[in-house]
Amino acid sequence: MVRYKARYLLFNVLYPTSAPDATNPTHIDFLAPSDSSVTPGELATLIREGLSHNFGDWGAGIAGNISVKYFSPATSTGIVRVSREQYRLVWAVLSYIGEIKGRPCTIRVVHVSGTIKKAEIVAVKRAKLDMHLVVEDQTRLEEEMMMISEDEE
Amino acid sequence: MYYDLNVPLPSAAELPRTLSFLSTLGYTTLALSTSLSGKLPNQLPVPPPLPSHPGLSLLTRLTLTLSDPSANHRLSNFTSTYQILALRPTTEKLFLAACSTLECDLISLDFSQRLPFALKHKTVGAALLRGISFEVCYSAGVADVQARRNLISGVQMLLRATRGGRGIVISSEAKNVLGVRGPEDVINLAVLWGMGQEQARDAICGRMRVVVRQAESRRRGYKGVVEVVEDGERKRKAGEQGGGGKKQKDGQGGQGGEGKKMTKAEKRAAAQKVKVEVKA
Repeated sequence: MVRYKARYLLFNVLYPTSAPDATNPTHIDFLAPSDSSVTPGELATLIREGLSHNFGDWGAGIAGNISVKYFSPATSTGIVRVSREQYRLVWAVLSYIGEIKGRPCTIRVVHVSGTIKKAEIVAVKRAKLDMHLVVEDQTRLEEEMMMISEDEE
Repeated sequence: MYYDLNVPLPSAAELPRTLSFLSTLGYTTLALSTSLSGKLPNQLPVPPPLPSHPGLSLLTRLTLTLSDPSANHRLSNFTSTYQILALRPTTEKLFLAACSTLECDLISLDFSQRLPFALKHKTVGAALLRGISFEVCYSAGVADVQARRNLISGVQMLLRATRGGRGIVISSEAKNVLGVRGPEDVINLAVLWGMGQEQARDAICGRMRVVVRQAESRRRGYKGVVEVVEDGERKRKAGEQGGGGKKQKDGQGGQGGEGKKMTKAEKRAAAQKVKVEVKA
């Protein structure tokens, strides 16, 4: 008997139409927080529906054994566990999702790993990187403001 | 290095968002596309001024939907206005012409509808020998179920006709930002459509680079083989380039009509040019 082997897909929910008035949106604007009512359970239902919509009964049966292990609405990041053989089907379903709870979005898989630990490590790493980018943006903004005010003086 | 060579030119208000989102997804080279269909105008619309965006290189592209065979001869006037020229033939005859004679960089078939003709290996092979790539646009299939079906069956046809997917490139043709997907996601979708993983990566990365390079040498070079690199004054490469930055017309194999030799020579020229640019 061979052990059940899984893949963990680390995904980001991006909201490309958020920040409607931003003249020059940065990537942080697209990584907007999700609605706090979006739960892992709901995402799992969404994926199962997508499976049966895109791949029929066969798809829902063969790849339906999924669970959304983690979803943080604050960072719009989640981890879903799928069987190793069928991870591409679930990935495609994630790619074909166009909205969550009526809000248009795009789901992007950023990492595929064999253990949940690695997926977590990558998630933390990426979150840190994003934070640094925010800080950089902030400092750059502040510097620009300084320059402007100096010019005015 | 991921490419999306078909971004329909968004409105001025949407442009920063589109560029920024594509850059967030990981694309590095985008071609902003202007579409023309119906009768060919006497004067082409001027290519839009390219905005600058950190981390992105932008190109202009013209997508011509061919429906009238009589206007083909005028195409040659249009080839150098835009950085990339893509043709979208609507009938078998025009498809044959595009594959065998018309000068272009990409043949972009509309896979959101059912193709009205079959793709034959002979025709497709002729285009591949000339170094022309076939483009698949995935965006219509993201939202619309019927388009998705047609797209997958179209890709299957193309895979069969190219004997295993040589020379296929994938781009978005997304009407708005919601239609684009990340490069890795596109690769995954392409694998599900029947392409191999390496091939799919090539279709959005490696082969795209070839397309951009060839388009550049077609536009600027002599017969798509020799290009004048303007660094003659400094005489750095005087020995190799045969003295000065003067135009050289004695290209290797450029005069030969055979498609195969042409593409090989083109590739060699492109490779050489890369080297020259790296040194410069």
